[in-house]
Amino acid sequence: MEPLFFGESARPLYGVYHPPSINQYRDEGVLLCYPAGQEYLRLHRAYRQLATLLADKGFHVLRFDFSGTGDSFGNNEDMTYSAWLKDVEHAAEELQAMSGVNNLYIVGARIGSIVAAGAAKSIKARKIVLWEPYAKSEAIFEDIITRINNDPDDSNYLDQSGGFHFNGFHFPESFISSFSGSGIAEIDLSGQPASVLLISSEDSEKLASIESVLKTQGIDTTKKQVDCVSDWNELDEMGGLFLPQQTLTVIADWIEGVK
Amino acid sequence: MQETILRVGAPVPLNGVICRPHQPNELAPVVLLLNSGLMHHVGSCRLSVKLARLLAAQGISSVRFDFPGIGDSPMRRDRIGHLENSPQEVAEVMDEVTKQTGAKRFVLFGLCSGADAAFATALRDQRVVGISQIDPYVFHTKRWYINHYLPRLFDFSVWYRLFKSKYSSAKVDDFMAFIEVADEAREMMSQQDIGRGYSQLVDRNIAIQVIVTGGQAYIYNYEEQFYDIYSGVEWQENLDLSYFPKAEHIISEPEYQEKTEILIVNWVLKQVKA
Repeated sequence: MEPLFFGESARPLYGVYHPPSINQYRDEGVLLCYPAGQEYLRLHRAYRQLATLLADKGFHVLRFDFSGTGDSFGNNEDMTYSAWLKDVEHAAEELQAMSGVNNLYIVGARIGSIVAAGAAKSIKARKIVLWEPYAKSEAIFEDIITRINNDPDDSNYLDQSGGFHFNGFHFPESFISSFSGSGIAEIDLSGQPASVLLISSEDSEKLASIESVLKTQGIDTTKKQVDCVSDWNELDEMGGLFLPQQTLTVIADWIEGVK
Repeated sequence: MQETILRVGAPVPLNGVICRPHQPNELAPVVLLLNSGLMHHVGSCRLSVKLARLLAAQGISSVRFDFPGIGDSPMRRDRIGHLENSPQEVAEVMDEVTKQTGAKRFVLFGLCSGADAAFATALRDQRVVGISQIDPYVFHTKRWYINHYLPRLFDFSVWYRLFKSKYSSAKVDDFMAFIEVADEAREMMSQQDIGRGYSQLVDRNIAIQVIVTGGQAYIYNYEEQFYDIYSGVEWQENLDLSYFPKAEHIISEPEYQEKTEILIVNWVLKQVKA
């Protein structure tokens, strides 16, 4: 586990590089894209676990914080879809420079899945894992806003400028609007020689529209439902972290090519 | 401000980030921001990152890092327990910071188990000049019971719920199967030992900031309770106590996040040598 700052000097990004822990050489590297807000904090340990699983299989792994999140530069105002796409490009360059790998794969969870899918073409990702992805951009914030409207309180409320506070984090209007039109069913991956894993704990019907769009684009798509009772938006006052072991194993095995 | 990676110790390092101002105040202590439970060094709702950058704007350096096995630090196999090991690990970080910056005075900040680690370290290490604790060890007092139960005696809904719960079957929360909680990370000390510890810190003229949140309502429900819990401690001017009854334990409310940041930064500024 090797933490590092990378990217532009005025906008440094924080990441942790996991080199392969076995001697089997693989010309393959994996980028892990976090979700945002409280989900980022709660999934941090799971991503460390996933990175370790992949490193144990011989992959080079880089998990990193998007602009305005974690240890990376900036604050909420620096979070936009286009900035995060650029962050993925920097992370890909960094991983390739550190490891020398030619084949890049990318994993994204929740809102991170949107960014992973959006950046897949520019970084030429050959395997793409979309964990609890969103078909349409409107769906990204819909659930949260509904929750806030149903039960507003001192932590969770809509602000006057079109953003909202949710579970300890502020999401400004500029962030929300930047994702307009970026749902996975709205992204064009055609021509990309990639395989996609869609993975979710919920009824895989929800993934059907994404699967159908990707297949229409000629993308080799696998859909998996892994049982995991979860509420991504649960606020655990005791700081409990989300650790869905089985999902992590399924993702690592799929990337490795285990059927 | 410049943030760089800090790696302390070999062969199994503690990983963190050192945040240095462009114009450091040489008279200021360096602030170490400790983990809260399993939460990595970014802190609850990114509090540690925000504090580090606010402190840097005031000329104060800080380090946020992970204890072994937490966040971005690998596990050390010789770990016995949080209270036994964390003072040694914090000392390792202080040694390294002294080597890199020349700093010899340190302030420790922590929430929950981080507050416990700050307390345990301050008791053992003379370099610590102040501790800032959110939700440190607290205990019930007589007045807590009166505040808690007296209004409930005359509340019909409480009696109804009690009756209902007695005759309903328990539900298993299978959601917890996918959650890792650092219940082992909070090791309790006796009230007497903690009181004695605070007295020792006051005798050494250590500055102590305590913020108690509403997340502790099950055990803390009035502002001065801290004084009642540790009534044997003669605090002099050393204790700076704040009570946020409407804030969650992890301080998710923007209003209280801002208040907390301001309180802590201003309190650290008071620890700058005259």
